[in-house]
Amino acid sequence: MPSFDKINRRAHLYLGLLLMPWLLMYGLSSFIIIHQSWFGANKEQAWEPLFEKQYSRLVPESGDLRDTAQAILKDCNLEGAFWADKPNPDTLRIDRFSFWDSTRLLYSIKEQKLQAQRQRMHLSQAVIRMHFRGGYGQPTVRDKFWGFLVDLACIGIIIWVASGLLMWWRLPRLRNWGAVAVGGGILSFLVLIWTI
Amino acid sequence: MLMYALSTLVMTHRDFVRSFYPSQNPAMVIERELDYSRSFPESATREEIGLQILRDIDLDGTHYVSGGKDAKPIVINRQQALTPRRITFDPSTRKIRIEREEFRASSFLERMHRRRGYNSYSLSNTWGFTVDLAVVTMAFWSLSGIWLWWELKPTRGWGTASWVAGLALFAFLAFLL
Repeated sequence: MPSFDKINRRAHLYLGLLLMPWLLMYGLSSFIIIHQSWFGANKEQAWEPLFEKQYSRLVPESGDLRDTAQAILKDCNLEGAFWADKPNPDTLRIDRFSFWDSTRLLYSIKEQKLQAQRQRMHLSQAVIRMHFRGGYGQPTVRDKFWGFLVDLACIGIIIWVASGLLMWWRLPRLRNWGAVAVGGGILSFLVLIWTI
Repeated sequence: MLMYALSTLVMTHRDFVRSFYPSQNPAMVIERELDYSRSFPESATREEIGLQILRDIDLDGTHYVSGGKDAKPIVINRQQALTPRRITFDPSTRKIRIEREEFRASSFLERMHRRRGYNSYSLSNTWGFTVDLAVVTMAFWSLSGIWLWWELKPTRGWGTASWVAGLALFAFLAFLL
């Protein structure tokens, strides 16, 4: 039977290795978000026309537009993560997005015309999209699975912190300098929270 | 790191977290209202006016200004970690109203998660620096962790399985999503 210490060390190690791509992605994307202009991530990419066609579908005047938007996406073979809104009473706008591009569908209710445009993302913008993606609100299983992995990464970080603290405490020769690092971190965090 | 992990959970489960509170957003409580007689030149921008008001009421610090067009009130959002404030200056009545946001743990976490970058306030810049430091440290931890793992020969088998599984899953979803 392995000891608790061994389980703790192995959990720290294997969880860290499994979640390493997410941690690296969050680190890199945070740096890009803070310094967007350095990476050109704040530049709006051009929209390329994809298609324009006659199309007919009943759009509710008010209420949830997601069911209608999802049906339109299905008709266009574009199912996946999306947002939908009505920028004006005549237009339904659907933003079908992935990490690497966006497809914008504009449906004119009056003219019964559907127009699609596509916008490709720079690598830096794709990484930022990975950073902001999470939760279980999107329709496909793969989107929900990404949401689950984001939750797992968060719980993994909490376990990492707790197991790291325990591992440090079990190394008596590192207690003093470790205490300085932990104490300094907590103190500076509290001081900044209190003052900024 | 703890703050970022907890705040991400709060943000990805916002509806669930909000269900514990009586309202969607924290209430704004009026702290004080005062007369404000200082006059500003026609050419003064709303940012200049906002900064002067903050200095006059001893609340100078990180903020952004909105409103103020067509003689409408100028709204100064004074960003503070624990008690953000909204200061409204109505030029027609020459009154200032100061409101503070009621503390809510979830809003606090979201606020701190989003706070970043540099401005003209040194304490705020210290926070910006610590965010940069946390980001670089995350990358360092990830890469140094691989090296530390490789030095532990008995863990190479399961370690390789965990690492490759993580990389494969990430690459697969990054391609698919």
